[in-house]
Amino acid sequence: MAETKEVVVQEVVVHMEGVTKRFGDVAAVSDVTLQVPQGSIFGFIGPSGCGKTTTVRLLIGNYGLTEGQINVLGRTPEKFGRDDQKRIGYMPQLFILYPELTVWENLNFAASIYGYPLDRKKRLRELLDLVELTGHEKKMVRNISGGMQRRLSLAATLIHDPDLIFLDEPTAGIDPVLRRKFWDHFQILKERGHTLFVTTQYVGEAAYCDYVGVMRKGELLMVETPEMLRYKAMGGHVVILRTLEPMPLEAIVALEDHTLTKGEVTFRDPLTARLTVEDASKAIPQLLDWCDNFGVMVESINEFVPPFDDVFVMIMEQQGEQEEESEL
Amino acid sequence: MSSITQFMIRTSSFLRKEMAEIIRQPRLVATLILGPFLILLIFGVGYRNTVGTKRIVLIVPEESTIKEDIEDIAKRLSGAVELVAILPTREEGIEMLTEGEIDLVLVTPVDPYADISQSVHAEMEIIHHEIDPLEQIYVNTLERAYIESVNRLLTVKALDKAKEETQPVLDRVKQTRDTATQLRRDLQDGNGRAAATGIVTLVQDFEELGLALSSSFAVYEGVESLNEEDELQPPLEVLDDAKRILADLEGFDEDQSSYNQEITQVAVLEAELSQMDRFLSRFTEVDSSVLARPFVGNVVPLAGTTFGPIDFYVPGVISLLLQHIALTLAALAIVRERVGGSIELFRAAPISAFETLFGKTISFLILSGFLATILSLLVILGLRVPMLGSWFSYAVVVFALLYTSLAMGFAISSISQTDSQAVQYAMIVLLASIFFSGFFISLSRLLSGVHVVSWLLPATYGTAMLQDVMLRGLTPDPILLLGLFGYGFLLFLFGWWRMRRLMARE
Repeated sequence: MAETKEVVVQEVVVHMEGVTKRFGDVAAVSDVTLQVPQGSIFGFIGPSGCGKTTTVRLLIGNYGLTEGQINVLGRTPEKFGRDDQKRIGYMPQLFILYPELTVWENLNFAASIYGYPLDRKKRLRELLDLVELTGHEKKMVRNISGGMQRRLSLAATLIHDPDLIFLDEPTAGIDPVLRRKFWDHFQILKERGHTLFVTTQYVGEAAYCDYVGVMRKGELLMVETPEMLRYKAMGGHVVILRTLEPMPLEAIVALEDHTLTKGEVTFRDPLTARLTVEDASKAIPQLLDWCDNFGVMVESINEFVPPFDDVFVMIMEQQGEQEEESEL
Repeated sequence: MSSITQFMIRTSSFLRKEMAEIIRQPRLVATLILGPFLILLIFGVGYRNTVGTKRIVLIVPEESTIKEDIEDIAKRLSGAVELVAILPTREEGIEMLTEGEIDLVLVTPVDPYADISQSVHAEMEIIHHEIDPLEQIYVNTLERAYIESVNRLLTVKALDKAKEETQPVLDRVKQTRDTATQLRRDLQDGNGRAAATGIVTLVQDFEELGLALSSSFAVYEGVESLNEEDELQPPLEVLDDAKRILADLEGFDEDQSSYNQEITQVAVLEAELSQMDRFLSRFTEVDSSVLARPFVGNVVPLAGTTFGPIDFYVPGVISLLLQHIALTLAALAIVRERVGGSIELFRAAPISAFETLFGKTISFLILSGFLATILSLLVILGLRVPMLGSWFSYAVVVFALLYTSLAMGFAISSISQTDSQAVQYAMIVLLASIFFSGFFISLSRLLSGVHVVSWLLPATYGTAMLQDVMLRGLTPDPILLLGLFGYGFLLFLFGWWRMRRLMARE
C-alpha cells in the first residue's frame, strides 16, 4: 500500500506550501499544501467551484498568489521565463481553439505560439496519431465532434513536448469510452516521463491517478494514493462476510468486540455482514478461524472495494460533519 | 534557434491564423469589399448634382403696373423653378404653399417703377416652407439669382430705350456742332453781328442737348470712366465744360477789338461736340446686355480640371470606409481572444503581448491592404474618379491610415469586454467621423475647439491627404502624414500597454 510520505520521497516538480488565493474577501484557495512527484499522474478532484481551476492557474503563473509559496520545476511561477513556460503544457477547461481553422491549422498555430521550429510536420503527425485524429487534418474544427475537439486541445497542449502538463478537466462533458481513451493517453504520457496534473469532477477517474488531491470549498482535504484514499474514507478495508444462516446475536457482539474489526458490524441482510478491518489480507484468514470457533457457517468472505464515487461522498460527508462539529 | 527566429515564428502564427479565418468567410470578404463599393456606386448613380425643380406661383395684384412685364419675369424662372400659376392674391399662394402643392410663392410689387422713382427698392417677396437648412440656402441663392436676373432685364430694357433716344441726341449734337462751326467762321470773318446771333443759337442748342441726354446712359458713362486711358470725355462732362465756355461767350461784344479768344473757345466746343458724337455713337453700338452686366466671372481651377460631387466625396468615402474596415477588424480581434479564452492560453505560453499585438497588426495590415487595393481600383477605375497624384503617394497615405485605424481598433478592443461593446465603440467612431472628419462638413465650418475631435480621427488625416493626392495632384502634407503615423504609434503603445495588462498575472 502506498503511503502519503512517498509523495515527498520522490523528486518533486510541483510544491505548494500554505498557498492562499483571495479574490477580494473571497478565498478561492485556502492554505493548500501539496507536492507532485515527477513522472506521476496527480489527480485533483473536487466538486465544481471548489478551487481546482484557480489552483491550476496559480501553478502555471496566470494568477498571483495571496499567501504561501509555490515552486514549479524549480521556479516560482511569478518569475517564469519563456524557457520555463516551454516546459509546461496547459489545457484549459474550455475549448479555446479556433473553429474557423482546420485541425491541422489549429495545431500549427499552437506550435507557433510556442516558437516551435517550422519543420514540424512530423511532430504534428505524431500528435495527431496519439490523439487518433489522423485523417481529420483538413476538417474545420467547427465541423468535428466535441470529443475530437477535446483531443485536438490535448494535442495542442502537447505540441511543444512539455515536461509538466496541466489538464483542467480534460474529460468534462465527454462520453465514458472517450474518457477512458484520454486516460490511456495520459498513461502513455506518464510512461514517456511526463508529469501530469489533472483536475476532474469524475471521482471514478481517481483510480487512474498515482496521487489524488481532494478539494472542498477551496481547501485541500487530503492527498493520497487512490487506495489510501479509499482506505481513509472507509476507515479501513471493508470485508463482506456472507453466512449460510443468520449470525446469532452473541456472535455479532463478539465480532464487534474482536480486535480485528473497527467500529460497528453492519448487515445488508441477515446473511450478509459488512466489517471494517485494518488490513483485509491479514484479517480474512483470521475471520475464517473465528467463524469456525463460533460455529458460523461461511458461504463467502471477500474484500469489498467501494467505488470512488462512494469514497468521495463519504469524504465529503465526513468533512461536513467535522465542520458542523467545529461550528458547534 | 535564435530568439529573432522564434520571435518571427510566434508573430507569424497570427498572420496565418487571421488570414485563414477571414478567407474562410467569403461572405465577410465580399461584404468588406463589395459592400462599400456598392454604397459608393449607388451614391454615384443616385446623386443628383442639381436641386429638384421648385414649383412656384407668381402673385400679381389686379392693380399691378407691371402686368405686361410678368411674362418676361416668368421666363426668368425657367430651369430651377416651374411656374405653376399666376394668382392675384398673396393668400391664395400661401394656401397652396401650406397644402404642399407648391414650394415657393413670389409676390411681385404693385408699382415698382413708382418705388424706383422715389429712390426706394421695389421689393419682390419670396415665401417658402423649407425646414432643411440646405434647402433654405438654395432658396436664398435662387432669390439672389432671380432678382439679379430681373434687375438685369430691366437695365437692358432701359439701355435699349436710351439707345433709341440717343439717335435724336446724335442729330442734335451734329446740329449744335454745325452751329459752332458757323459761329467760328463768322468770328474768323470778323462778322461780329452774325457771331452774336450764332452765340445765342449755340446756347439754345446746348440747353436742348442737355435735356436730350438721358440719365439712362450714365451706366455706360460709369463703365467708360473705369477706362482711364480712354481719350473720350463723357457727354455730361462735355456739357459742364460747354456751360463754362458758353457763359464766357455770352459776354461777347461785337465791337471788341479782337475775336481770337472766342475763336479758340468755339473751336474747343467743336472738338468736344465731336467727342460727344463719337461717344454716343459708341454707346449705340455696344450690346445692352453687356452694358447691363459689364463684368462676368470665370473660375479657373488650378488643377486644370473641374470635379463633380462624386469626385469630391470619393477620397473622403475611401478614407472613411478603410478606417471603418480596419478599425472594426482590429476592434474585434483582441476582445474575441479574450471572450474565447485564448488570452488565458497566451498567458501560459511563451508569447508576449507585443508579439501578439505586432503579429495581429501585420496580419490585418496585409488583409486590409488587400481590401483597400481592390476597393481603390474598383472605385477609381470603376467610377472613373480622377487620380491626379502618384499611386505611390496614395499607397503611403492608405498605409498610414490603415495602420493608425488598426491601432485605434486594438486600443478599443483592449478596453472592450464583449464583441458588441467593441462594435458599439467602432460605430461611435464611424458616426464621429461622418460629422467631424471633413467628409461631410468642411473642417472650416467647425469651431476650432471641435477640431480636437476631428484630429483624433484617422479619417480626418486620410480625407485631407487623399484629396490632396487624388484631386490636387500634390504629395501628402508631411505634417499630416507624420501626425497620422505618430498618432498611430501612440495608439499602438496604448493598445500594447492594455494588452500587457490583459496578459499579466491576475
